[in-house]
Amino acid sequence: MIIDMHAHLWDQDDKENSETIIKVLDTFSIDKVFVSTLQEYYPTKEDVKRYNKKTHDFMMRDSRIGGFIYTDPVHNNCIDVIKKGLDEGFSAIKLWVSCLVDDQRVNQIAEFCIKEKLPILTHAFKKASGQLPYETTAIHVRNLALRYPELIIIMAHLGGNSYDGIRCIEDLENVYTDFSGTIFRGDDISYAVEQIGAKRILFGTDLPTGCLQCIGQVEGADLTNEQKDLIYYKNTQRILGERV
Amino acid sequence: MIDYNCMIGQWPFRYLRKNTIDDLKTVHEKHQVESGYVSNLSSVFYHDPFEGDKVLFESVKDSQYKMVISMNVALPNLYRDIKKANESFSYEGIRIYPSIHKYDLLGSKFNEFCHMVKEENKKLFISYRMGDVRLDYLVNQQLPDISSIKAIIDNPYDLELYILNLKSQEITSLRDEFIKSSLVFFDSSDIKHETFAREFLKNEGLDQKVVFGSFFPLYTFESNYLIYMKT
Repeated sequence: MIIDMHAHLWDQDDKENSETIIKVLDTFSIDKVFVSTLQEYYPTKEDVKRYNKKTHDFMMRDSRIGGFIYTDPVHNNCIDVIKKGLDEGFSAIKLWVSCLVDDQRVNQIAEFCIKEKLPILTHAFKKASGQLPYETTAIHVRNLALRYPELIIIMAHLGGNSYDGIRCIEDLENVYTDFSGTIFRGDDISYAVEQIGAKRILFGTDLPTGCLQCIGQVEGADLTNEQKDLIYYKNTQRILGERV
Repeated sequence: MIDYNCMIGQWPFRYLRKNTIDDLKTVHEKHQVESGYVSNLSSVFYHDPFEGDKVLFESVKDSQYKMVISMNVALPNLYRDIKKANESFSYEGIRIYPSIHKYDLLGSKFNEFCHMVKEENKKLFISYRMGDVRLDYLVNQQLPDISSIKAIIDNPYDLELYILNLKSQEITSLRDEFIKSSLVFFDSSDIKHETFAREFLKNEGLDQKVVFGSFFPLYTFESNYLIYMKT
């Protein structure tokens, strides 16, 4: 079984992204995928509303599609956006690049998520070049996790660079990570499993871009079948609970 | 199947768990890859790349693998490297790393180098990038302008030329040049951005121009194998 907990639709794309995701599910035997819709780095409230509607429409199309609510901590309606998403059957929260995840404006989201037992999937990427001004890195994830030890946080992309990312979350049991995206350096998964254990690593792809590179990473690492199962689906099942 | 982009040796920025010729053989045999053009990662960083190539030769001699020496075009007296390699090894190709060694692919020295490679009748492998530049540590790569790659494909010195680690969008931007040049190919090691990459290349009319490249051990072999075989 495979659950992909990190995939996207892009708002400006018409149908190609969703068709690609369905084709991936059919072709590579992915059992479930959790999607959020993104586009603008600094969206308006109307943008956010449209993004989540697009995700919801996709969820209604196929039972294999789940949704993560995209909300922008900068907006004063960010909690209302989450409440609406929960009513519509979304499963978790997605934060992106409009605001560092340790910004004080994220506190209200964190406190709401603790109360509702909702995980936050946050983008995190440390770049040697091209870092966006409010693009979260692992140290920001660490700050939020220390502030809210009860909050479940999923740090995306191994923090971009696993060697920066993993060291920041190694001692924080409330922080998980995924290896979604086009990064597929040899040994990244082996390194991550050695440092934080397979129980804190989730399978995500960043679809509609890629997919097989992520499966290859799991298959290429020296893991037991039990470790593979944890990564492929059991960890996501555990974290999302009944919302899976 | 042949792996046109595989290496052994050390990478100074992180510990590689599997980076010997035996590790390469194991993963190749598991996936029915019969042979490969192998170079030594260590040579990328040694001031005298020949020192790494001596180690490589000891690893690949008497094996199914084809040796590819590494050269830094920015170093003086390049003919010395080729002369020493000719005296010391049986090798099939020469690999260069312009994003690390940072020289002009349109300059006179590179032009002279290409003529030397042609005289020796060797294959030329150009590593466009050595992994994701966003993950660089201590040494920041400087990717050659794609227009310089276009110029080389337009005038490939009559060489059998392999451009390694191009992304899908870069390949697409060079589509017409690749199709026109019968001796120029690209490898599959960085085509990951297209989910159905092989189908994409076929639709672009480029399926005859792609060769399998794993970029082992810097990339996960299984990832690139699945992308090449299943998409």
